[in-house]
Amino acid sequence: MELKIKISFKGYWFIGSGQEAGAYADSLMLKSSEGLPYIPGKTIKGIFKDVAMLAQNNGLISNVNELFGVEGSTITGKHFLPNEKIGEADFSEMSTSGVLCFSNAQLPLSDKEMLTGAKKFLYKTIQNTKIDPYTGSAADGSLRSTEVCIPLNLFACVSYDEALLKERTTLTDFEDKFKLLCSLITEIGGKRRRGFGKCVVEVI
Amino acid sequence: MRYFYRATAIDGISINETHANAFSTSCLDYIPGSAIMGALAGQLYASADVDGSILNRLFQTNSVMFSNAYPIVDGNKVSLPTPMCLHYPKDAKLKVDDALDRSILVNKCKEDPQDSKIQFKQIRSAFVDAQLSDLYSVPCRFITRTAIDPLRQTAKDKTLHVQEYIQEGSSFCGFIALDDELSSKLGSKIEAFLNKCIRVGNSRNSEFGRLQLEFLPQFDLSLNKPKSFGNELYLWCISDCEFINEDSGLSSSVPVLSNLWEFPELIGEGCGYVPEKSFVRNITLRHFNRKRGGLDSENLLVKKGSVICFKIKQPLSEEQLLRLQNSGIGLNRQYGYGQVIVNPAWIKDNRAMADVKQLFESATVPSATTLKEATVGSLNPNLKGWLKLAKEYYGNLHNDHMFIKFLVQLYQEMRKYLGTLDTEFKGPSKTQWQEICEILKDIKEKHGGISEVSVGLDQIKEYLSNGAGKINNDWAIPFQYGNEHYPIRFDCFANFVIDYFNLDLNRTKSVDYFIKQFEILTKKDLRSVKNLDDLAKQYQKEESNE
Repeated sequence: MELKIKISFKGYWFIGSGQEAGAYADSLMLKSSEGLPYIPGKTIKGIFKDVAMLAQNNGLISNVNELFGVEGSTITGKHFLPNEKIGEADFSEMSTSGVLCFSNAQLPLSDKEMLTGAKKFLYKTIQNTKIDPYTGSAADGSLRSTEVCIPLNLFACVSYDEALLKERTTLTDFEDKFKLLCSLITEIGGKRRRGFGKCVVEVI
Repeated sequence: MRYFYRATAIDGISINETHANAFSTSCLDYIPGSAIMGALAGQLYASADVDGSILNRLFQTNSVMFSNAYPIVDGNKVSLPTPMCLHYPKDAKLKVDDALDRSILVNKCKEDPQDSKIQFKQIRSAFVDAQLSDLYSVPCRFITRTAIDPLRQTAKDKTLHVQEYIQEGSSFCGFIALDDELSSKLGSKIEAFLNKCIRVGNSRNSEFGRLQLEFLPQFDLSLNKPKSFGNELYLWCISDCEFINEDSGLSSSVPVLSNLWEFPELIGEGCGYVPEKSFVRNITLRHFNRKRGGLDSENLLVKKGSVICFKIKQPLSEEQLLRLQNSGIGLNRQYGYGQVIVNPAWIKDNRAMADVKQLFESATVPSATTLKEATVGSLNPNLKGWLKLAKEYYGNLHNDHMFIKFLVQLYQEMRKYLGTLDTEFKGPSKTQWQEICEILKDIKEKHGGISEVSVGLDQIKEYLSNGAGKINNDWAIPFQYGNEHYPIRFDCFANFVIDYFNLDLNRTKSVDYFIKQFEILTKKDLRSVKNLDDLAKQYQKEESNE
């Protein structure tokens, strides 16, 4: 089973690549081999897990560990028989994989073809600096430039095995719960606490 | 029976090469048979309609082979690991102008006294096609990742790492080989599995791992029809091979003849592994067992690409050699281990490697069915508007107004270079640019079309050089050297213009375009034009007003 999601950015957004480019920018945007921006699946999964934990803490959803998996602290070494259910207590110790699989969020193929000669116009650099609280002027050595992307619509898919979902969770209205999670996401990417990455996520 | 398939990476594929816990992890550049086996096992064990004993036979015995899937190169050619007996001189370049230089390749399985004077380097990686036309590698990329602490919302300590992965879009070809009995019971399930999208490797639940399989029912790959080499048996390992030392019961780093269990008649006194004619490298591997949640015991393997030479007691018939090639050698063939090409003809070929026609029987893999991508909507209209504006602003400034900018820049630079004051008039006036316009208009009326403009170029040149371009202070800018004055004639400048004119002709600009460009120059005193971007914007404005 597959759910397609659309991420509509409403302002500049930024996914870091860890790379820099000298005088052009201190942080470069993550790009695919074609030079187009995309959001890695891990980032999307992390954002969804974050809002899912928030929703679970407020009683809106359950079985978040089963949906997204658990990063265990130790491995119990316990051997599970083929039909044996993995209990809650075991989750706290073991690493487990989740039911949901997240793909990268990319531009659709038709848009990629159209953008072939215009990739460079998708990016611009934003400068920011720190203000010294005592002098009120820019602090020395604090100027940074970041390559950001202009607002775009990206598409990803979230796939899961229905039988596995029924087996591992008690959710009966998973699609509705998932749409709820989508509505809770308001920013994606780097510097989202500083105004970047404002977006609307919806299931299409 | 062999079930061939094509595997296309929809996402990046990351399958670790080692279990090292270093900062970065390198990945395999092929899809191992164990990954395909694992994906099939996950589906068949979960389904209730297959008997457990059949599944055990499928996944736990040597009777089934899940081959490695190696890259499809040049669009549709099968590739195999480069045989390690191929060497080249250490100071030579393996590739010249991005093409493999086959003349320097040497097959070290053959003895050549000349070779002892040269230091050689072994080719240990990459893949080759049947014609040895090139050494191919799979495009891989790196990505840096970290985790975010959910409480502090900052990067978590000790989680920064670099991951290597095979780029999406790469294609591979492999097969699953079953005996007739298993084929009759599971053939349809295998075919159904080989038309699915599976997930393999690291981070399957996010970002990586999707592999689209496509069953190739009409495709067959026989690789080689082995001939007997007498009492020598050459094996080109096209996958890793696992041998067991029968005395200690442990994995052996050295190929063991007695591991060819189907052929006990090969073993005799003085028979066995011949290291002088073999080229073997080893790797150690520990498979991760998801069920046990840990690593299995360590396997010591002979690496793919190794070339093994055995001395055998009696020659094998061609039928036996083919059976050996089809069944494979050693342990754990269900993981894809033990696949070999037996007695490839080129190993004993006396010709140089540059003259060898093929390393194995080539085959063309059918093209992949185009993966349909659902069109979920065109570009955001705001984005389209933005791009149009950006392209017009930057693109027009750069392309369409290059001619004016070029002229004006050249003229102003010449003045600056010679220290000509702004108040001093030197160079063509508006009247003189207007003269050139008139010539162009005349050409357009009489001849029309762009190619005819070249007819008028000589006229323009003549006008610039001789008519108005006489050596006088109105046109030429004097250059003083010692007591002499040398004029830099405007015809030099004119030649630049004409050359650029010719260049622009190749860009299929119209006569009207050039007329307009020159008309602009007639409206400007070039001395006073300061901001060329403003000039271009003004041009755009005038054009849109028209």
